[in-house]
Amino acid sequence: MLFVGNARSGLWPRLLAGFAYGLPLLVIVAPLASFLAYSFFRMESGQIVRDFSLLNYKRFFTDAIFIPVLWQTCLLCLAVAALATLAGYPVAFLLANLKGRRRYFLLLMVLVPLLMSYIIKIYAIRSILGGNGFLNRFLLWSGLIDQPLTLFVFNLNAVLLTLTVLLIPFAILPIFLALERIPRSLIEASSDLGASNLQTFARIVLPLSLPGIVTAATFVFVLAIGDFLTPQMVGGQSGFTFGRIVYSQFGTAFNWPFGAALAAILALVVIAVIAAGNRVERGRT
Amino acid sequence: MTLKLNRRTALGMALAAPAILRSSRAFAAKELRVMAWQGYADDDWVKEFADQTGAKANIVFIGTDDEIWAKIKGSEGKDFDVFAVNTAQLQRYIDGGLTTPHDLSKLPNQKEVLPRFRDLATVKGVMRDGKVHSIPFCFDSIGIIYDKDKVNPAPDSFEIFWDEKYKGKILAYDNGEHNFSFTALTMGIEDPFHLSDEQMGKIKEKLIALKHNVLSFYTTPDEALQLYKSNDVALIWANYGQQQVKAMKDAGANIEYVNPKEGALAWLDTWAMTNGVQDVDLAEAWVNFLLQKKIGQQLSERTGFGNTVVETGSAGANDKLVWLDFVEDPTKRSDLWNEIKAQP
Amino acid sequence: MMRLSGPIVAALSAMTAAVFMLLYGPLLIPILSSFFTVAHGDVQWSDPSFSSYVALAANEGILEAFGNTLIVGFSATLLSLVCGTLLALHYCGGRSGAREAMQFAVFLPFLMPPIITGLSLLIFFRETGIARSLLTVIAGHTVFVQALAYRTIVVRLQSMGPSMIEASTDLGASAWQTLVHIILPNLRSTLIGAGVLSFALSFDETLITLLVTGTANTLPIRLWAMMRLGFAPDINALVAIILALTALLCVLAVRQFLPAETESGD
Repeated sequence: MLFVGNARSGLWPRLLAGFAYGLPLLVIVAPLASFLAYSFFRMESGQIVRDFSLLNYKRFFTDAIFIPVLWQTCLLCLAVAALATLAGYPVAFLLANLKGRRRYFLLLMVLVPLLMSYIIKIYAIRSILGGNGFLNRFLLWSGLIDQPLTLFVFNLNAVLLTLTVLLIPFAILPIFLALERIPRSLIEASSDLGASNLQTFARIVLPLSLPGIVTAATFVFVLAIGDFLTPQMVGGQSGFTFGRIVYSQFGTAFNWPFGAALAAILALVVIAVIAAGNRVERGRT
Repeated sequence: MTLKLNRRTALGMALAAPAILRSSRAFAAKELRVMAWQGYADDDWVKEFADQTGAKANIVFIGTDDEIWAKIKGSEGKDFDVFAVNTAQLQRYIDGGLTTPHDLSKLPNQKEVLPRFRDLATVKGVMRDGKVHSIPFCFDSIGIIYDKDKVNPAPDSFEIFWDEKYKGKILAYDNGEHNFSFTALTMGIEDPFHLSDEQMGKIKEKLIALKHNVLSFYTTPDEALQLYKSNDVALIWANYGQQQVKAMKDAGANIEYVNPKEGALAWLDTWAMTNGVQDVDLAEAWVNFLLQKKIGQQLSERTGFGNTVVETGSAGANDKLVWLDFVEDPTKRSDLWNEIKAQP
Repeated sequence: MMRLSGPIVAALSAMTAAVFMLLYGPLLIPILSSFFTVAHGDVQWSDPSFSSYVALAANEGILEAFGNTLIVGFSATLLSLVCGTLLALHYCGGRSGAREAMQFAVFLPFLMPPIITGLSLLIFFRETGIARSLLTVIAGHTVFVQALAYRTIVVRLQSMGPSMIEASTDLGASAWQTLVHIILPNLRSTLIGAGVLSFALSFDETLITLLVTGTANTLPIRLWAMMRLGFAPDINALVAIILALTALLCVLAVRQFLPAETESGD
């Protein structure tokens, strides 16, 4: 599609193809595949036994704790993706409607908080949300409440809010880029034909920005599911996620084969979610 | 033309890259590669070490036990010369052949350490088959923090956590492994790290009783502090020991710390050399350097942890400490702990 | 883009302001603490001081780690943009199973928990005899963040559609000319955005870095390790400085690279 006609026989497309297959093969597929092969091995008295078996995968399905934790983790991350996308869309929409430098300046200002270490941000958010945190002190001081709120103290709400705050910028950018590319002529044609702003938005803008929405939700979902620190630090008792189970297998539990199997399963789940997102996108446009 | 040039440069770069990568190795000989916890290799010590030996200690700081293992095992010991590890974790490194035993003749300062740590054969876990695999450096006990206004007289046993009088005023730690161990100590079981099924069953009952007596199980020192500040808390099972004491006193709490008579669990961090150590003498010099009285003093002042050279608040000479050990079945303990937490 | 009525603009602005508060609120705390002592949960307004900035200037370890983070961030971003663009160009050049497989492979390091990506790269480097150093950290970061750059660029290329490129080639332009004169200019804002996202991701990467580094520390590794004993006050100063610098850079970048009346929504 991109390089048709005389370009097809040229050197450039062939070089490009060579690069496009060679690079991932060498630096991604080779290391990861050889590592994920561990998932078919097993541990015996502290040593990795290189016999092929599906025991690790069997354990995932038979043990009572893994599937519920994975399910809850997925729900949590889907909620975060939804929240971040919902909060990010109006911002992206406003940015896309701004003109000139102001638009790009504000866009960059959205991205600047990403450059603050997220560990520092989590600590700051904790001191805001805690039982005696700045939020509760402010609300008490202002007289809006007379008892400290426990709504955001070491529970799932706190995890949701923290992850959303941390990841919103990853949602705004893809949506903005999609909105920015919508041809002005389409919108003008729509309003010339008498469509209201709402109709134009629902029939033209929203469908055309769908690829951006899907990409935004995907970024946020994947980054949330890979985060094993935030849930633990602000989630209290409910901060146990699948990422933590995987992580512990490689450290003190020292069960690399099982950890590799869990990671493979997690990757499959994430890919399924992304594929579902792509279907939604293709189904609409 | 452009393409040709590009291809050639690209090829050249591809060929040169491994050479650049390898050449960085040649400089490594004069350097010591250290993996340490925050607080174990402060800048001023590294500078002084450089003045004394002419060698630069490059420190990589780690945040969890899990990472040390992943990094050392993943590189098969090649990436570091010397690393800090606790005695319970150390066992798997020895099992995996990832350590090089120490030569005590190169560690003159080890003769001057506290009596508790002088005879290494009596320190559980650091020796195997007559060889010293690591040198004790830093420790802390897991005792009881009590509010002086609410608990009088001072407690001397973990039994107080089951006292009805303090129902709903106790914070315990959310960790199955440690909770089984300290409850076993409280019940007078000799070896809290290797429990029979019958003992496990009894401890489980007792932990369910504990659960009904506590306000909450916390996970981080900060969380415990927040709970303490916003609730009526009298007693805390201090998993983070002196670090927690310091944080609470800084926050203005009127508290004290005590190691119970049945023995307090304690962790002990040590220095071990990897099997990939490049300059053994330099590595030993590093460990010996850190065993100085001045360094031990500063370590305790700065972190609140106990050191092995100078007496500090973590434990008096007569306090009974039970060094943490590998437990019989960590998975079983964590499964049982989940069952306990799920109990109504 | 659209002609919006007053109330809608007001509503959108309010929502945007709320999001900005969420984004910048948490940053206020370290910045305030860099000037004022926060004791017992209260800010001591009466007693501002620059002592944390002085302490930062003397903290060589942190400054060196910060420098390493910048080196890694810029290198990985540049590499990711180049690789991401090339991979995206190939992906958008047609439809085939091989292309889907390539895309899957590019996504993998991004989908895996970081400890898996880190460990597999560490074992790979060990077995191929490549010494761990900042170069391997750059490689590790590139593998990780290029997925994001790639995806962002693919979305833009697909929305561009084939017509513009076909027109260019029909007019006899070579593939190279098409790339330089048609594709790249149209990718400008995408590349800037993807670059910032890539840099941000690299700037905060902890686990992969720790596993593939030699003896070099980056800022996230230092901060991660500091959690055990709590953060020193000079970290707050560093946060404040980073914020001021990046805000300044943004202003300069917008002034420098974008004309006053820049490409509007077409």
